[in-house]
Amino acid sequence: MKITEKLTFLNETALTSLNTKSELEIIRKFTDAGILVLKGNFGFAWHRPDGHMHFELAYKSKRTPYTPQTPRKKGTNYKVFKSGEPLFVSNVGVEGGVRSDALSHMQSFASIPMTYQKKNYGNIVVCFFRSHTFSSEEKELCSYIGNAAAQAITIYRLHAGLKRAQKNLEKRVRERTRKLAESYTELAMDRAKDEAILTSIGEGLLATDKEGNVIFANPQAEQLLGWKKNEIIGTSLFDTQTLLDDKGQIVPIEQRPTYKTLTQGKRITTSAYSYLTKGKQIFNLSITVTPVILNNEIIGSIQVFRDISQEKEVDRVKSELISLASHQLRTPLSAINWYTEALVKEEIGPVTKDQKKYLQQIHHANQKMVELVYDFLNVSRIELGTFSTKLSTINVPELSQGILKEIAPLILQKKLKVKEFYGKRLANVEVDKKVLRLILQNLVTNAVKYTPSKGCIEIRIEFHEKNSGKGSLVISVADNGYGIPKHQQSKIFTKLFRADNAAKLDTEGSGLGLYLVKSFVDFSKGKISFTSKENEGSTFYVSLPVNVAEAVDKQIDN
Amino acid sequence: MKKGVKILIVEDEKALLEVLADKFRREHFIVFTGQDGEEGLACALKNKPDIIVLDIVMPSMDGLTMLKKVREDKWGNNIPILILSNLSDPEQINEATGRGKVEYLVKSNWGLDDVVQKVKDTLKLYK
Repeated sequence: MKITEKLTFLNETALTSLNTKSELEIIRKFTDAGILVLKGNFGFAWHRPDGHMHFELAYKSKRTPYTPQTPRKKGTNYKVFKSGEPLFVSNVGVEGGVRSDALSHMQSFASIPMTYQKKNYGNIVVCFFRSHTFSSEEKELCSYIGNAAAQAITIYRLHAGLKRAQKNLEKRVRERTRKLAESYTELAMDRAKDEAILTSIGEGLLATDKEGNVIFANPQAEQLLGWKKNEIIGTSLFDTQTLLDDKGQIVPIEQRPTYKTLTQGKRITTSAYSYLTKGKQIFNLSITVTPVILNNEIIGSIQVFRDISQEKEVDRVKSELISLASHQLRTPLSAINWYTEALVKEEIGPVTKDQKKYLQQIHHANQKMVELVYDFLNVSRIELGTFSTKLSTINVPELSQGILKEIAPLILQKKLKVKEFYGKRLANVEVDKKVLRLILQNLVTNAVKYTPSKGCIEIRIEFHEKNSGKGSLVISVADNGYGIPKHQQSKIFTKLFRADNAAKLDTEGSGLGLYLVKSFVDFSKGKISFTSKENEGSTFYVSLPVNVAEAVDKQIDN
Repeated sequence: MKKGVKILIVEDEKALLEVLADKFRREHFIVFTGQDGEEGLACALKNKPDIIVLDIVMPSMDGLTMLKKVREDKWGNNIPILILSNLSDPEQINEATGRGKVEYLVKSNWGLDDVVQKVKDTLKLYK
């Protein structure tokens, strides 16, 4: 083998070693190549991947591995490893017979360090059964072998590192993908669940972003509004949805519940509006708009709504029936009223004392019925929305005194003390007489009815001016009577509600009085409140927005 | 009140008509009655009463129509009329009272004596 052939062979070895599966295999290839090019008898290698040595004897195509328990830190090969300088020994001096293997017959050897870029990977040792002097060419070849092996190992390690990194990366990608898939499945399930809920609820549901653009609509919403999902999603809610007020006028954007929710972040529920569908149909709707808030910021709204046309119609029919019945009742009530009046006054002929008493009872009961019918009519007017205000100029103290005069018999009978205080500028107050009369009459009548004998009632009416004749009529009616039980105070304005003590004291009350007062006050955009303590009395406060004539009146104070 | 004041009461409800007519007779009025607008109008134009007490909701011709027709007559143009009804709708009241020499009473709020008093006041007012 010529030197050029030897070098070519070593180059091929170096190239094929790049495809090996382990460092050990690289070392084996180079050990074998070393034996071949130096014409040695056998060889072995010290491999030191992690400071430990791996010993492998290669002899007659047989390999005997040996790994010592402890790192070997002495001896010839250790010196070579540490120094990185090759060692050539031409005659070791035989001490034969000690070992049975090839080593015992070794006469000379070359220990070649595998060094590359100041890094030592171990030694390749080529041994001879004879003494051998190494030529300079052989020494060159040896350093070439050591260098090539070290390079191959370096490349292998780099490659292995890359492979590990790639594997690691792949593993992490797989893990991430699996987790994503899991969470996506969870998300998809949540989504499916949400969609099932949103689809199955009976109400229409629309979700918008913070600008009011529709981002979701459920099938009920499509059905109620007459718009297909794909027609409204992405469009402004204010463009496609037309709300009408009770007069059929289009509600301006800034008054719409969704707008208010998006700008003020408040949850709004109302049944004041109707909806104009795509097909120009109108239905009454009850709607609740809830803001969607993320990190203290309004990011959208959700509105839930339903068609309440039928409920409204039922309500209307009911109120109409009450209205009609009450109207019809008035004629017979008038007849009873007038006939008994004529009889009681003995205009038709004399009646006995007992007969008169009975007739008076009929007359009284009839009066009660007339009052009830009035209450019913007022309730139905309020509920039908047919109640309308008519402003006129009223002398408030006169009206109040008139009401007191009507109830004077009961006041006298109970020996009640009545205090009246009327403030300035009350002679020409522009207000709905009917409303003011109903409020005063109910509050004063309640005070009289629910105060025991010798009690005291105080009526106080004042005008609080805001600017140039505009202001509030402030009324308070106080008594030191039975009061309202604390646990029933929250229900006192409820229709047909009567406090326990009141129901016991006066069985004829309808439970409509304070409900009507509250309704009328609300209708007039006024305010009502009260304080009350059982067995100590009640005070009701009402304030109504009014105008008064500029003229200053003299104070009336009783 | 001097004797012989002629009053026409137009009211479709017989019971009410009767009790009112009796009452005014006891008060020495000369009483004419009608049970609907048509009857009332004919009677008014024939007897020319000093005052008409008129219901609004009536069959065949309602009170407001009759009021209009009476006003179209030369005599009737100036006659005081007292509307006596149970309608308390402000608009209808306005419609009824906005025609001069017309007063308005809600039936069920008032006693018999009150009605008589109102008639006497109205007569005095538009003398």
